[in-house]
Parts: sequence; structure tokens; C-alpha cells
Amino acid sequence: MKGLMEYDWQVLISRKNWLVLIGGLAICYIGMGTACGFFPMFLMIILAKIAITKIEEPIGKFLFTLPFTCKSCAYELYAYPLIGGMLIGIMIFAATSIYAPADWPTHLIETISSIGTGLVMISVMIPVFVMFGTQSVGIFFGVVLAAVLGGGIMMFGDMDLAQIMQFFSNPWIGWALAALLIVILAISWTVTLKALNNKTF
Amino acid sequence: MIQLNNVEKMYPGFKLEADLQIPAGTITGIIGVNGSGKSTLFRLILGLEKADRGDIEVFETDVDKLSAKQKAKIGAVFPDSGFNGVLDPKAVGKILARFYPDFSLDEYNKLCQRLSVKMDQRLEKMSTGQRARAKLAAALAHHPELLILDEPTSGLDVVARNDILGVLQTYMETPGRSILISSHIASDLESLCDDVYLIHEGKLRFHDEVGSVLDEYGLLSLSDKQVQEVDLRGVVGSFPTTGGVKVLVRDRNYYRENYPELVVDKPSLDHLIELYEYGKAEK
Amino acid sequence: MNLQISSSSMTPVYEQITTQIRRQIQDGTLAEGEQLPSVRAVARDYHISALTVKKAYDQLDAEGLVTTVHGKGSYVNAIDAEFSKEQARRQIEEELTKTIAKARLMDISSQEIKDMVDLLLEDSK
Repeated sequence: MKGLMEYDWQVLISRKNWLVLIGGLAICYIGMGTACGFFPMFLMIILAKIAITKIEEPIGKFLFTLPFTCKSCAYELYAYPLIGGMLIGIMIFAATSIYAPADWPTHLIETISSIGTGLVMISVMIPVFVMFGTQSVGIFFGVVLAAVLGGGIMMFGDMDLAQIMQFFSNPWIGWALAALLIVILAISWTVTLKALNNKTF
Repeated sequence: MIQLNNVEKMYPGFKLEADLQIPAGTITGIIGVNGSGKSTLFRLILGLEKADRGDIEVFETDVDKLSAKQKAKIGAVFPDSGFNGVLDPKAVGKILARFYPDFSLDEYNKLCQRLSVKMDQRLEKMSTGQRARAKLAAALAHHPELLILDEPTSGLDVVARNDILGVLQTYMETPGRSILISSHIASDLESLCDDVYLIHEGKLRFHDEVGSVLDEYGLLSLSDKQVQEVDLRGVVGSFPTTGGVKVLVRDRNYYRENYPELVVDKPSLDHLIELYEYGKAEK
Repeated sequence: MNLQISSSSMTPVYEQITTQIRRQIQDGTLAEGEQLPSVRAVARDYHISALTVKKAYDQLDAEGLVTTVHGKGSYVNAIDAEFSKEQARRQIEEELTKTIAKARLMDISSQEIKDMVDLLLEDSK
């Protein structure tokens, strides 16, 4: 798996313009105060996209001649965005807390839920993209995203932040969400692994 | 090292059938026109495709069941696939170091130097020739026992081709290694390969040693009248040409001695392709 | 070891190699006990198939001019002037036998053959 991680890492740092752009965006968001809630999830989606790109045509054909198992390939597809998301989460949280120290508990919760949301996103993204490729699925994914956001707004739209916080501070909700996340991850993982095992070029 | 038994692979409008043994310590060439099945054969051998029927074994193990350790003994080059184009050879070296335990960064750098690879240039910005050399350096640096090279010299000029062929010959000086190399420019393989297979419309139609084809076979140029008159023996096949027919025979000396007036030439592997594409093979 | 290999000549490459190495052994360019370059090295340097080089080396081993030690290489044997002459004599005898057989097939008489040989010997002086 180290080889696969190194591959994605090198691809990430190869585009210096992109890094500057993302860095700039991060600073803007920190200034606006919404970085914690948005950035980890955003970055996780980008990293997942990078990880998936390497197994697609035309470069996937060559990649699969390298020595790794389908299992470690599947692991890496999730591990890479997750680790990246957590690292960015820590950095953004630290930066935001220095910038606006009083709100650090809110920021912490925002960061964690952002990572959690990111995890859900990539759990949908990864198996879908591995099976169908990244091209045609952009639209499909956009629709799913809209549906999820729409559903979220419908459920929570008329509550203010305090009410949402209350809803989520109910300990049962926390466990339910965690359990749901685990189920989603398990299903996602199984589908991804199967798709990778059957992948042909 | 490689064994294909009764292998079949079907696509709409195309069927590949192959029976093949590639022993250790040899350089085997596969020649054929584009679309003849060379790439499919290579994809099957590397486990990138699953055969509909038959067994494919590499290192005496089913390709589906190769462990990561065994896969680490293989190196591959494709004309249309490689590392992500945004990477440069330096980054590729770092990635390879994490994949292969036997990878030596020192040797990789030396190979790149030998092949005139620019370490800081992105793969997507390289010319075809430069990229081909970079791919070869990446495939060799972990000392694989088996090299699978799909059209590694396509689109390259003479200098690049010679560099690559030279590096491959040096690579083979260590015993226990094998190369399987394909080309649609058969003459590229004449100066490298020990054995040659010709693939035509999905079937392996011809197999012999390169040395035999170049040293013993003959290409007769006959008028239509001569074809009737000459006692043709040991014929591989024939194809039409201006003025008559070209006949590929297994023993040019027989014709040189018995029919000294006939035009007899030393054949090239390209003539084999012409024969199967435009002409008729015996058997 | 220097060879001049023609890739366009009708003479088989392995024969070109054996002929040149044989000559180099006989005139001392290749010394007794000297190791011939590896099969792969020759294949690389002259852009030919390794099997062709191996065929040449095997032929020279069979003729007694070199000895191949498996896994190590091929070494030049001591030349025996009489031995090589004997080799040459035997080769010419073989070729003459073939030619005579062919002549007989074409109904050429012994006298005609002898006359032909005398004429050719005269020309070659």
C-alpha cells in the first residue's frame, strides 16, 4: 500500500498551481470562519478523486502490473483521503482556533462532522467511480450530492444552529450516526473490493 | 517461464487462440500487424484480462494467483499506458522505491542516464522516444526476471531504438531472465530476439528461431511461369508481388544449388508479415 | 575479439562467426587459453540473436577449437597445425563428394569431371 500512497502523494504535489490555489482557498475560508465545516470534506473528495484516477484507463493498465493486492488497493482508496482529511482537519482546526480562539468547541465539532460527512461522500464516490469510471459519473454524483444536501436542508433547514446542535448532542443520535457510517463504509468497501477484483483492462 | 495452454479469448468480431511456451533465458518476439492480437496476448499474460478458456501460467503459477512478491519479478512497458503524465522520472523513482524491495535508486538513476532520460521533465511533456526510454528505465530498475514489452520501439528513431535494444541485451547477460517483446516493425526484432512468433487474426501462425529465418530461409522471386516449372520444396508460403510471386522457403541453399538462375534473397522478418497479410501460407 | 558481420550477406551469420574465429585462432590473434566473449555480449555488440552466437560457439567446440565450460564460458584450445590441416582436408573432401554425386545425377562422366577440375585449377593459379 505504501507504493500506492506514494503514487497519489507525488501526483498531488506535482501540480504546484493547484496547491497554491487550495492553500489560498483555505485561507479565505479560515477568514470567513467556515473552513472547519467545509474544508476537510472538500479535500477528502479531491483526494479520493486523485486516488481513483490512477486505476482508470489509460494509466490503470500499467499500474496493475505493479506488485500489490486488490485488497491493499481498496484500502488505499479509502485510507488516502481519510488520512489527508484528518491531517487537513487538524491544521484547519488549529488555524481557525488561533484566528478565533473563543469558538474552538464549535470548530472542533464542525471539523469532526466535516470529516464524517467526507467519509460518507467518499463511501459513495469510491465504489461508484471504480465501477463506472469518473467521466460519466460526474453528473450522477452531482445529483446525489444535491439530493443529500436537499434532504439535509429539508430535515434541518428550519432549525437554527443551536437547535441543530441540540439535535446532535443527543447521545443516541451520535451512536446512530456512527453505526450508520460503519454500515455505509462496510457496504462501500465490499462493493469496491469486488469491483477491483473483477477489473480488466 | 510463461505457459499458455488452449487459451481462448473472445471479443465481438475477434477471437484469440494461443498455445505458447516461453522458457527462461530467451528473448522471444511476437510480430504481427496492428489488431492481430498482440496486445490482447500481453494483457492476458499479465493478468489484466481473463481468458474465456484455458490456463495461463507465469513462474509456474496461475496468473490470477500470482502473489505480490511474484509480481515484483515482472516488468512491463506499454506504448499507451504508464505512470500519470504529471509525474517526472524523479517522482517515478520515489514511487518505484516503495513498490519494489529490490529497487535500487542508484541503478535507476544510472539507467536513466544511460538512456538519456531527463529526470525533471514531466512524462506528458516528453516526446514519444523520451517517454519510451523513461518507461524502460522504470521497468528494469527493480531487476525483474521477466520483461513484457509491448511495442517498446514504436515511433522511435534509429538512435532511440538502438539505445533500447542495447540496454535489453545487457540486461539479458544475467542468466535466468526472459524478455517477451512485440513489434509491428519486425526488423526491429531481428537484431535482438532468439525466437519469433507471428500472430495473425488472433492465431499464432508461425514460430521458429530468428537465426534460422535469417541464416537458412530464402525469399524467391518468381515469375508466374517459374512457379509452375520449379519443384518447390520446404515452402512456408507465398505472396504476390510486381512481376510475379515471392515464395518464402526454409532452405535457400537447396534453391541456390539446384536453380542457380533463380533470384534468391535473404528474407527479413517483415516478409513473414507480408506473407500472412497479403499471401497464402502452406499448412 | 573483433568480427566483421555482414547482415546482408547470403552466408549464414553463424558461419561468418565460425570462419572468422577459426582464422583468428589459426593465425594467433586469439591466443590459447583466451576466453571468448560471452554469447550475450557478442549478440549485443553485433546486433544478432544469441542463439546464432551459441550455434557458432557449439560448432567450434565440436571442431575441437574451443572448449565450453558450462556456466563459465568458452576458451580457445591449443592449435595443432596438423589438426587444422586435417580439418580443412576433411571439409574439402566432403564438398567434393557432394559435387561428384550431383554430377553423376546429371550424367556427367568421370572424365568430364576431371577435365573440369584441371581447367578450374589452371584458372585459379
